[in-house]
Amino acid sequence: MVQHSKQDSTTDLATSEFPRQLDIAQVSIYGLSFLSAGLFLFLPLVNLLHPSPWQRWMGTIHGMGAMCALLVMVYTGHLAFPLLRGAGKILPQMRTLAFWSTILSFLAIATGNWAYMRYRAGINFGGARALLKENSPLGQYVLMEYHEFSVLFTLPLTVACTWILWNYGDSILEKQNRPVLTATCVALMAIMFFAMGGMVSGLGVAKIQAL
Amino acid sequence: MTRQLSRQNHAENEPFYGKLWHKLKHFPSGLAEGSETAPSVSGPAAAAVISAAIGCFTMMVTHHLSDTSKATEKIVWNLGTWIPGSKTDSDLWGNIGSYTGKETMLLVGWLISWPILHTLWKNKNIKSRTIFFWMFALLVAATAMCWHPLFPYLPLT
Repeated sequence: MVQHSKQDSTTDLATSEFPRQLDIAQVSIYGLSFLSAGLFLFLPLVNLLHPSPWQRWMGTIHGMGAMCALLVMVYTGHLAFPLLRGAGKILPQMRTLAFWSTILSFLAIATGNWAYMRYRAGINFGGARALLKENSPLGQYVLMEYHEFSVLFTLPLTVACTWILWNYGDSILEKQNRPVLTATCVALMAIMFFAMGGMVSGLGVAKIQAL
Repeated sequence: MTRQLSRQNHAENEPFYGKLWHKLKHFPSGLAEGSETAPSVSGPAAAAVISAAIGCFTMMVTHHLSDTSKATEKIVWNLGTWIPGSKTDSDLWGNIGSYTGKETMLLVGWLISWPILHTLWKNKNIKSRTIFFWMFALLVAATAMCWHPLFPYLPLT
């Protein structure tokens, strides 16, 4: 919402007909956020152009699920920092974000399980795991094994954080509950860490060998 | 001294996307409001977080155990047959394999330890250093176990 500068403005040195600095900043941040989120969400759609029918289907669906989960978990993980410093205003949003992180984590894992089936197809049928073990074993033993296990860590952690944030309510900000707040925020940051690592390692595997 | 730059919430002037975002941030509303009765000790929270880490650790131990022999792998695989896609007859479409058993052990380790720890700690104040020690130790160990060990008697299969 653009407003014209007023006499009592605290950010503009002189009144003018131009938008206030805060409005420019807000529009810029909204614009950049939509652009970067849109670009990231566009990335899994590139799988639709892949020659392999499995990569077209499974790669796109698991990619979209993983990307949505990553975006929400990273958003939540970033907000864990001000929450740790005691910003109580964001508590209701943190509770719902932790909940949606749980749902999206489950969906990303479920779609990943589906894609994993084709990943384990026989070598005569072009199975990615078999081909990776033959041609680039580190891709399976370092990248894929890290990916398939570390992302699973996000599910119990998101459930725990959702439950703690709901159960403790606003009293999580009180002094005696400081350990609880700290543990929850650190867990949210760990979720972000595992989600980011999982995305990068998954993209790495897909880059070497598709489904 | 930092100046407070955030504007006041003029609800009547807010554009439609602002109102939509505000509604989304508080959906579901019952969850956003939080519980009416909160625990007075840190025990329940400690149980929730540490049991999650125990689940992760259990899964990784199962993963390495299943690498020791084909027979162990079969046992682990059988634990996970309840997950759709665990076993199929198709070599073209593949199956999930013993990974389902490992996922099952994550759930078993997590969902069994949580009520046990909750019952033990629901009226206790667990110290900050206890919570953090077990969280870090179990999660760091679980993360380190995501890579194959360097022992020569555990060859890559």
